[in-house]
Amino acid sequence: MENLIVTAEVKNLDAVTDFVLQRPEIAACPKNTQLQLRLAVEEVFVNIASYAYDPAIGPAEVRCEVLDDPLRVVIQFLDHGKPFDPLAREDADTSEEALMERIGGLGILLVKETMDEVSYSYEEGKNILTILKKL
Amino acid sequence: MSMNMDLIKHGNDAELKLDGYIDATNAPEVEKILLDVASKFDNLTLDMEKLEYVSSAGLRTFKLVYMELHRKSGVLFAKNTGKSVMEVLEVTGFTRLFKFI
Repeated sequence: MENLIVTAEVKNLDAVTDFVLQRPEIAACPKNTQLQLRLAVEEVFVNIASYAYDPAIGPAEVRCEVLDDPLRVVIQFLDHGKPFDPLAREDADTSEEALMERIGGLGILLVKETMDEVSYSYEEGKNILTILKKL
Repeated sequence: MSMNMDLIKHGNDAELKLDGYIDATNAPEVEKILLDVASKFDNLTLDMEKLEYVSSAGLRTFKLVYMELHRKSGVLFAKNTGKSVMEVLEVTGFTRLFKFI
């Protein structure tokens, strides 16, 4: 599995999205699929950059693998920040009343809606978020 | 990520053509420009024809623009919204911020 390690900072977002989107199998996908992957990668990475080590700075590792039969991409995000399962929260409230008050949870909601599978584990001191999308 | 904007004025109303991406890296800058325009006009139309992508960071921007306009009974219009941006607005309930024309 190819991987990329960067410091978890928003300024490294482009490097992370490029790492995933420049894979030939993904570059060959319909534009909408590429944009959904970009969105999921951004939301997960920005969450790590914003919260995992806050207020300190630490590393994030991104692993990306394209598998056959059916063609799909698996992307893993690893950090050794505070243990945090973003899937444990209830889905963000999208009602009209909540719209003006809501302060978070939209990113992970978008990840769940645009990816085929999302899972979280905490292993050997690392948060591991795995997303899968059929191509 | 890149973002270009063209502003067209119609009296007290403004129209902004968004072009490119709104993501976490440029949302603060886009937010500043949109809020500046929203503060100077009664109503604002966002032409999204060339806006390819918006993430939750961009949704926050739209929300602040909506609030600035709503405060003075102005309306936030959207037109030519593409498939990817519309999907993000629909999933999050943010279609409610806009009057689509």
